Amino acid sequence: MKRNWSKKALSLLMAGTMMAGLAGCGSDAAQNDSSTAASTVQSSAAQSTDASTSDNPLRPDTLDTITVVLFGEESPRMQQLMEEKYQQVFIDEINTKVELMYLPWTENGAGGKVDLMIASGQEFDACIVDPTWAASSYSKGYLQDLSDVIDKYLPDWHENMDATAFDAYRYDGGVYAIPIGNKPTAGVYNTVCVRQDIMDAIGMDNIATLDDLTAYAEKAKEQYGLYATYELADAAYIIRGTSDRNLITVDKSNLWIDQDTKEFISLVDSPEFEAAVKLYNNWYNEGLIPKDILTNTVTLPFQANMSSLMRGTCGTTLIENEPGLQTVVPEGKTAEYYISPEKPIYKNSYENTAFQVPVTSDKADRVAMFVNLLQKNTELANLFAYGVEGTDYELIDGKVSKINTDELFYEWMIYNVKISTPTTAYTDEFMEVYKNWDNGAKPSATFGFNIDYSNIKTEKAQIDSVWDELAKPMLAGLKDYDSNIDELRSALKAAGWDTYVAEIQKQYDEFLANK
Amino acid sequence: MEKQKKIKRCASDRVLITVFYILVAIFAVVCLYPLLLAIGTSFADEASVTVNGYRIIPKKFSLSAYQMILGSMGKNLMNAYMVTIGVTVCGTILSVLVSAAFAYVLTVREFKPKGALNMFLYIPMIFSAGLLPWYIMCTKYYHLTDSFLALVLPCCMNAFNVFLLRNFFKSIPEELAEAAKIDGANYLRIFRVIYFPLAKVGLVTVGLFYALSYWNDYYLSLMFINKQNMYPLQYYLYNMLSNVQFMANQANASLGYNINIPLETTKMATICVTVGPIILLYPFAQKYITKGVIVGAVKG
Repeated sequence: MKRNWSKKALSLLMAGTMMAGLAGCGSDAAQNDSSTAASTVQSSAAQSTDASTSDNPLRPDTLDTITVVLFGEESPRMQQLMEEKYQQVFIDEINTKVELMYLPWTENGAGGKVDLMIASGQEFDACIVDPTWAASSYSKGYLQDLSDVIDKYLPDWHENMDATAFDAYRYDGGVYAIPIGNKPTAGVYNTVCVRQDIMDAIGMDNIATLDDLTAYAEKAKEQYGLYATYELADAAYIIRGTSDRNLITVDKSNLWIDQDTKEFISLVDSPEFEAAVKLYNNWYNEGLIPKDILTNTVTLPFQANMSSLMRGTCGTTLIENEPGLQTVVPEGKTAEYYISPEKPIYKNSYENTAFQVPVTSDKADRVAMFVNLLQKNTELANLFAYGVEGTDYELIDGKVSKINTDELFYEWMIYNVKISTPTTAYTDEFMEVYKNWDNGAKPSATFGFNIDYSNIKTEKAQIDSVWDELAKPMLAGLKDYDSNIDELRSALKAAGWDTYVAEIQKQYDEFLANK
Repeated sequence: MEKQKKIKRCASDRVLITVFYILVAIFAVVCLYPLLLAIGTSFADEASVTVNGYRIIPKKFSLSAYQMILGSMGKNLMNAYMVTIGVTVCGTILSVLVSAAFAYVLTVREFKPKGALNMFLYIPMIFSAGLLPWYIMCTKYYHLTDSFLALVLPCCMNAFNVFLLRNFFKSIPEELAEAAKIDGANYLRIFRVIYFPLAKVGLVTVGLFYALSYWNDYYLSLMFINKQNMYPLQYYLYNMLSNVQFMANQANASLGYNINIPLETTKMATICVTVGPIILLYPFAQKYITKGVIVGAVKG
């Protein structure tokens, strides 16, 4: 009897396990049911929104849904606004329901989950990309040509953005992503950011040469005990000051391009490299460079009052560095200077962020309308970036004062100097400089050029390894130029430098031919 | 009753034991130090960590890292804890049952296809079909996307653990099973009444391995979970940390990104939040782990 009982119990257990398994595997079926139900709701919503008051002539008659991949996490307020406010705006304006799928930032780039999703045919309609990732995705055939939709579905985008932004995403005559946001990018990393309070204290009023920079760094060390920097000598602002040539980096640090002759320059073989390494070597011998420069992973040494200079971006140090610095040094002030200010300023990128549409999606038109909406006007740009006025932010003297600090649609992505409202933290003087930062800048010779490394993967890995092992100690000032340059050159050659440059040159020639 | 006489140790033994104790104590401190450093740093101010480095007792005390983790996302964090606990408990029970059943079958002498089953177990240990087929199989055929089972099934059976359990079962005298068989017990009963209780040490060890792998797993959720309310703890914090890292490194930061992100302290606070509960398992399972690993290792 007892044996029978245990058999029955076991059978029940196994049946239960099987049912649980089936129920779990069948969740998609359940989802299908719910999506059917949802589509019923949607169709009724479609009927109700047909009478929308939107003045958008491109608004489709039928409701459809797009899935957009973003990175990071959806804040509680973002969830709430998506349900209560944004979804209705999307339906009213473009008759489209937008579903957001969030992935960790580690998946932002080639070889991550997004690539896997496209390769496996998993459906989504848009994802943010940068030019490097887009180039890689294009070479794998993952991206859809958006040439047709950008002419038709981006009317407001064309009003508020610069069409040259597409250049970063043009391949073989097609356009493979829609850029978003409009911020100054001229001379990025070509300025040096210094402590203005120290400049005032030591009686300096300008930094225009590397000698000025050395004098500043020496006095900052002498009087304030600060190291000069944790950045290496191949920083763009150092190279800018080493010669009269106009060099812009092509491939991170070792390959540069002369803007006037459009010739590739191997940094290691250039006089600029020699000058930069010798400068740093002197700095190191004077104790201006920290001994642990290559091993210390301090996140923000300038803001932590550990170093006296760092690379600037686009006049944004007041935003990026000063608030952090002032938590350590309340009276700290910062400013950015161009070394060799007489040299031209180049714009190497327009915007780094864009929306790509995978080949698996058939809703490129809806995605274009969605991006257009994010850049349509001040009212909508503020709504998506800051939330609802009165609840999430208030306007004080025409500037945004945030009440809610939860992240909504990325502010850095949507921000457009033409339409977005700045926050109260930024003065009118700063905004005036910021808005006009790009004026007079020339487009770089490599604007829109992205390298596809797939044919030179091995060479790249070997060159990176040589760079880390031999070039970085020189660029940190730890090793002197004369006794180490030959070893570095021969190691780079052995690593396949010639093949590497030839391939990039070939791609660049094709890029120029297609331009 | 006469008090039992203690065996008196000679002087050299006492010295040796003292030296061993000192060495073990030093080793324990060395092991404990990083954990204390992590706890101390998690309560430090970010700027003071950058300037002064990691310290057990922070120079400037701050709860900003915990505010960052627990702040407005506190509810989500609790939810993530619940998911992880659910996955760990269900996954461990299921994994131990499946692995033990598989391992037992491999030890039954009369079971003819056990050679084939062994190969079935060996081959995936050496060859892998790769990420894409696995992903397609799980999403397109098993429909595991956004399913609780996605967090349990793909690593439900670990070949190494099955071999470990098989070795445990092999160490149990076969005569016991034979005697039970003569008394009329079937295989299931022999497994349930004889093998399962006698292999307790091995089962606890393997159970702990499974529990740890379920507790620490973020990869399955990265692959299959899109709904935020189904994020397990590790994935939730992994996501948060990568988000913090991105914000801290955001070059050409836009207007509004002037928030000082407590990057280093957040990392340490994350460690404290995640290791907390699982670390409590060790003292209870310690005796089984040491015994279990040794037994499993020496029996072939």
